[in-house]
Amino acid sequence: MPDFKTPWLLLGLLAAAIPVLLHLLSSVRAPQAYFPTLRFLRLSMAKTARRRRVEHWLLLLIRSLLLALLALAVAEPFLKSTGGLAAAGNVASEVIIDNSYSMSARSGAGSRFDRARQQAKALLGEAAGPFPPSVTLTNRGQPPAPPKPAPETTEEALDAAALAPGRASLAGRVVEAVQRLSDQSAPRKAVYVFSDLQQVSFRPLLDRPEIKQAGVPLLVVDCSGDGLDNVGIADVALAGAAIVNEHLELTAGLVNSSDKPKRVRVSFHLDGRQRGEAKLVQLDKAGRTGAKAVVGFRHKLEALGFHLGQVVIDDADDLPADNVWQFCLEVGDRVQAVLVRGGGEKAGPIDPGMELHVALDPYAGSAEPWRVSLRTVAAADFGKDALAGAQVVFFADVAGFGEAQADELEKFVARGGSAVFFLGPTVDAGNYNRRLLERFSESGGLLPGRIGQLVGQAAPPVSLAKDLKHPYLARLYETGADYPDVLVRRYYRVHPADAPVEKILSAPSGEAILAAKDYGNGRVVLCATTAGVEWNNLAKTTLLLPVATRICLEAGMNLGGNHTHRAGRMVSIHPRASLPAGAEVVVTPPEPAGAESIRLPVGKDGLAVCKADQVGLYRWRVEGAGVPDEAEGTKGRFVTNPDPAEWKLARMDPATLASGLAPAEVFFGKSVEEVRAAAAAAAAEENLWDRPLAIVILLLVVEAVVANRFRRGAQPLPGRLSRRPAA
Amino acid sequence: MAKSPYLYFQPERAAKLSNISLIARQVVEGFISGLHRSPHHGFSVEFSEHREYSPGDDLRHLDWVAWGRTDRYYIKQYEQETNLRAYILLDTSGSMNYRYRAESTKFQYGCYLAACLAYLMARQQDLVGVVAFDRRIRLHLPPASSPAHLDRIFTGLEKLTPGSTTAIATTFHELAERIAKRGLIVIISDLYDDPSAVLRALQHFCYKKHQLIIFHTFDPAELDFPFKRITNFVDLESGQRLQVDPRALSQAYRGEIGAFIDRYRTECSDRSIEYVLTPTAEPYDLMLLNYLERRKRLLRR
Repeated sequence: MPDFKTPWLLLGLLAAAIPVLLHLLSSVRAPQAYFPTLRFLRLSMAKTARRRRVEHWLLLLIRSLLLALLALAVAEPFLKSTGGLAAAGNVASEVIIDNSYSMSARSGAGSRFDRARQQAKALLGEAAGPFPPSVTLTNRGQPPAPPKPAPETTEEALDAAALAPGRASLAGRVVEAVQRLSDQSAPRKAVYVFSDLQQVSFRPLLDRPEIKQAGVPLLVVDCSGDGLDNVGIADVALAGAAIVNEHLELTAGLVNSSDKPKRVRVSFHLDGRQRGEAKLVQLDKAGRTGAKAVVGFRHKLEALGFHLGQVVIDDADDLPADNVWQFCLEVGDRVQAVLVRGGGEKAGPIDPGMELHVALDPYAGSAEPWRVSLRTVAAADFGKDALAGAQVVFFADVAGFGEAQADELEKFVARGGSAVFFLGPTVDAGNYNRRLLERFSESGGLLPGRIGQLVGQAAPPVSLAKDLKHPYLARLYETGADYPDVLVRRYYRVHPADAPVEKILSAPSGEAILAAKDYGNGRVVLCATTAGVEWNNLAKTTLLLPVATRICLEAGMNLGGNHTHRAGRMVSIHPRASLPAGAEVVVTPPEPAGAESIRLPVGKDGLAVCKADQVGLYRWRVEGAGVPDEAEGTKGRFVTNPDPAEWKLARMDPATLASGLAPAEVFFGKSVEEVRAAAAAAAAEENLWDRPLAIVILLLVVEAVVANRFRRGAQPLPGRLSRRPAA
Repeated sequence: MAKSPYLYFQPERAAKLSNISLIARQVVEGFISGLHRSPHHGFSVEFSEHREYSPGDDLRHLDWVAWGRTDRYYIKQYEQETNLRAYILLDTSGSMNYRYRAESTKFQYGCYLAACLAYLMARQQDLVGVVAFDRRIRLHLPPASSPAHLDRIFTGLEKLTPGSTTAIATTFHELAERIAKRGLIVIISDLYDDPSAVLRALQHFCYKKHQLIIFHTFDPAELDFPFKRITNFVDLESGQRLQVDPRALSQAYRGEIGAFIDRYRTECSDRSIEYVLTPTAEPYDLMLLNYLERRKRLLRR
């Protein structure tokens, strides 16, 4: 229904009664005239009775309507474009509910999600009309409901809906909703979003031109409530080797989202027991620099196997979900390293592999608790079997690789292993470039750079520059001056690849001597010179051992050590055992208890891939004919945490969102009623005064035609009524 | 010219006709001679034949010889060479008392016309009588031609006033019976009665071998119905009222009045009755002049 700018002028509608009054008065005040006979008048009236009746009422109607429309036009009716959203029956709506983890924050009596769900159900409960609304959750798609969005079923599905990990896929859902509405013929359309206005969720909307161009208003119902008392764990970093007797170091970042300073107790738990003392952390209120803090824990890993750990904020607040961060570590005995020794006659009197061997296993397999367990393999015997169970492989002056060897190595590194290449006099640079670099060029190559010419045969040794901040060299000495000089006489030129490469040791010319890069889930390290003493003094310095050890420990963390993942992502499960054909990995999700297990095939790469949608501890085991029970490597665990982005509770500024999405309209409110009122208040007006006026003009023409149709008094007398004599 | 002492006789107007009275006379004569050509018997010197006695006939003309021979009563009829016996029948019903914007009412117009016709006929030595009627006969002056008779006619007309309702057919039938001798019957009326009954009555006159001329008198407003506003019309005769929106009716009204006139025109033509539509807007003398000249042209063919 339209509104009127000057509604009091609607009193003019009373003018519609004027034609009726005039008609009545004209009857009353008609003059009197004598006439010779009424005979012909009566006959005429009888003949024209029906037509006169029609004409009379038609004219009365036209004149009354004319005056009424004139009054309407003068009162200036107008329609508000989005004001009509209050008439739910005439609006096609899409309802999007944010069910990301941040919606678990308390809001009033329940959570933000409870509030969103309640309001959405109230909206669905309105008269649907010809355009029943459909409901979508931001995470994990639509609620499980029959295709037909029957209100009862949709409400039941809403009751069953739960929070889902991962940040809210709000932008995608809004685009889908807007596209669905574009196909509808409803006069008014709207997208309702029930959310907590989390910036990380709403900012991606600004990058979607489809939303701006669609012209469908967005009605955002803010379910965040008033104020939030929350300190959350934003992220946790694990450092150290997942090796027995090694220390695990955890660093947890805390963020205070409250509008007041907070002091919280944070504790570290492993396998269900608190380890060490809880730590008190003081944080300033949200928005201040001191609102973030870091707390660290250190723990010696004493037992082999899978361990489930937690960093816990002991104090309750409005958002319990970010008070716990879990991790799953598989603590191994030692880092399993393989040394592939090349060399040969060209190697020289001192086998470079030996230097590495000593560096990697200084206690030579004694009972000393050394971190690395080393196997040595001749270059000719290098293959898939050599890599079985290994976490890191060193190549000492290996001349080259066959295709199969290169493929096995590539898989090994891609899965998380580390490959370290010490070049030497027997190395075929071309082979390395072809088999390790060019063969895997699509993935960036299995080398940090192209191996070029061997240089420095007659030149004096050069002192290498060291990147003392690199983890391989960092904190080995107090100061940079304490580090020994590394002198290199001969080395291969390494031309850097396009991908970022870490230069740990560099020649004065800038060429990398020791370089590393990530490849897949693993690492590749290239030393452009040998481990032997003829070409350099690396083995004589005190750097080779710690560098090699650190490379091993780093590898130990990547492969099979830390089984902590982000919920909502794909997780690769790698059973470290030889599996028969047809073997399956059976994954038991954490919730709900007793949930159906997921059966996954094992791929040719030995991996099973699982979508970990839920938060918590997953268990897996290998099943199949020929799979031995309880064999090592045939079962495991991993744990998932919510997307840490969800704990970034900074709110999107409504004005920024509204201006960013213009010309699409965005309205905000704490409830459906509030947001509709905001829409109505801001609605553009469409003045409709010209329409009744156009009809008035049309009616004037019609009235003139009808009224004058029978006004023929001025016409001349027909010939028969003029005097003429009889024939 | 001296002012007429009579209300309805206007010598100056009659004089216009007098100036062409010779022509009129000739026309009348021609007309009359036409009459005369058919067996027309009156009371001239020359005996023509007998007819049976009817009650009311003048006993002076009773043929006693024929009675003696046949023992039956016969009246002598004489050749009338030039005298015409005319009756002017003037409608004085209430409907004749109407005037919209004309100079005179239909009744007044009729009186003027009757007076003028009476004068012309008397002047030509024709016998003229006047009968005024509404629902009954108000004035009956048998035909004569003496100046005294003309005076009686003029004064008689002045004493008339329009009456109430109309009974034209009944009066015509009565007159047809009463007027024994053939003659000219001039009717001045609006004929607002049942047309079928009136036509039967006219037929009665025709049966009696009378020659009829009807001056069908209307006020112009009755013909073109010039009214614009919603009006409460009041019947002049019955006093009944009727509210009418003329704009919605005028066309249909004209159709009805036209049909009414057409019927009379057609039926009169079928009966060789002279029919003259006479709107009162046209001066009676002019109307009469035009009519006589038209008749003259017709008779000369």
